[in-house]
Amino acid sequence: MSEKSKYVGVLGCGTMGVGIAIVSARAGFNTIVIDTQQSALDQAAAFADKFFAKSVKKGKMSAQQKDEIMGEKLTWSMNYDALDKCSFVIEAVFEDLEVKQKVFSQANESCPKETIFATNTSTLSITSIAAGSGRPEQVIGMHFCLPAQVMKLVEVTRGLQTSDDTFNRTVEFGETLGQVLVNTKERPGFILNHFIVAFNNDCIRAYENGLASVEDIDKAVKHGLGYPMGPFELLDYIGMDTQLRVSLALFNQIHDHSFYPPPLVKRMVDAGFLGRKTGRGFYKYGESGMFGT
Amino acid sequence: MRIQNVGVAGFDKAAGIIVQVIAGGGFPVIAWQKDESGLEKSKKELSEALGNAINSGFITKEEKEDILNKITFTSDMTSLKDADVVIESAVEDVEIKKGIFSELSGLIREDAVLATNTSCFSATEIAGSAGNPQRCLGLHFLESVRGTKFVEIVRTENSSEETISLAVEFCSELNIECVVVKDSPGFLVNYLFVPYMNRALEAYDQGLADKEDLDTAIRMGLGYPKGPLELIDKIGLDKHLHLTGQLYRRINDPRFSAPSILNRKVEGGKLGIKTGEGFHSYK
Repeated sequence: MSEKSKYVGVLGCGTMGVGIAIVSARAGFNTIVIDTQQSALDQAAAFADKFFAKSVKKGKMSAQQKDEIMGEKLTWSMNYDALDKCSFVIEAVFEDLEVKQKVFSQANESCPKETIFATNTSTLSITSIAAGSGRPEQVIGMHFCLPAQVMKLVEVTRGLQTSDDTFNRTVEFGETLGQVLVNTKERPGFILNHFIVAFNNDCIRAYENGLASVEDIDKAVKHGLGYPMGPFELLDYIGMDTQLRVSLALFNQIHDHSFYPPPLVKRMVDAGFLGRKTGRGFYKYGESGMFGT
Repeated sequence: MRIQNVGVAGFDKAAGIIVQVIAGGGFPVIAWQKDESGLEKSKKELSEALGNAINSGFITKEEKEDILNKITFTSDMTSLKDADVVIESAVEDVEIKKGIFSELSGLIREDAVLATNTSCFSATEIAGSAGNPQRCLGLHFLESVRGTKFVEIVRTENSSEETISLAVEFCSELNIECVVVKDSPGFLVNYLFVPYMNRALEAYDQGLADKEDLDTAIRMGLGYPKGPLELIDKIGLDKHLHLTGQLYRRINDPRFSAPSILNRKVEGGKLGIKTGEGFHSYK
């Protein structure tokens, strides 16, 4: 089977799903994006179109390549039967165990026997998701970074039942996608969230405890440690609702105090101070501060 | 600006960052250290550090010469008597630091500022050994792997407002970013950095990922200038062990307790790049 003839399915077309679909289509795979809402699919298609238009403008691809990707490589569907030729299916649906198990079990009905199911979960166990898939040996974690269409790193994680063949084929697939893969142990938060969630909570706690101001902590982290963003700039980008959800998801599995969300997180969520997307988080933003627009 | 002459007292590795910032900002520096036989070694180490800064593209050859020309090394403490500010940067030993503060406070002018560059001790405690602690403060100089410099201006319990504003003015004169922080253990940067590093060492010890993958993930996924293991190899494992140990003694927070793998490596003589091996090998 030549590379170009390969098919990839992406389940869920939120920010992460559409990003992964862009990576897959850009690498030459026929990419089928599945969602339950037509409006979500339309929005995602518009986002992809805009993204590739920018790529053309920047000289990263020709207008003809863009048309080929949008017209032929990317298809948008509400029907799982469209996945019948896929060698890989990557799910990026809502971060909920039952929802993820359900989409895999649906895909299991429509996909060939050898299809690998990759989950983009950031906090759930690969083994638990695999348990509801009908093919646990072919389930693996492929955690892309946000925004997936820009970031190269993917954390690859095996569940307890993941076969060697699945792992090897995933590594090969990831390389064909043009991504850089790192292999992590199946542990809540893998590498990136293990560190960033705890670090961000440490910073929130330092601020909450009156150690320093938001601006000073951001300044210290950027200039003293050379990190690309201060923790509060980053949190406003991630969203406090996400920080709360991810923190609790990790804490509930590990019971390590470092992951427990400081009370300020919940209070900010209650107040609607979610970050850029609501115009206010640790900082205030104007209309144009919205991510993705 | 009433700061013209700057003295640096004691010349540990961190002093190299201080003179780079201050001499690089156009101020002459008198670098004193007690041990005359150590003068040549300090000069050589500074020259090497500046050479590395050239290789990393942080400074030019001319800037290196400029910096070296602005520094006078001496083992005679009285050379510091006319300094407007003296920054103590001796080894991280609180008794040595207090001794230098006590000697200097009898030597320098009444209105001269006395600062400590400690990273792990209380600046208030060190300032206590000076006759008039109002003119004392902490000036903690940091350099990131990207070459950016940063100063934590540490307000002790007894620092006068005038002393703090003079330090802020001095940093702005030097064109270096700074924040005024409380004199709490680790101040701001190390208070946030040390638990992150300890967590990374523990996660590695528990087999979260192999060393290359761990460093790659942090560099590419979080955009940090270096992964944790390559970074601690550069810092020196012994130095991190000392820092986290001192902070743990003062805070009693398990996040600062030294991970066992750190103790094992240091006991085994694997201190990082300087010994040819830490977490990675440099042989």
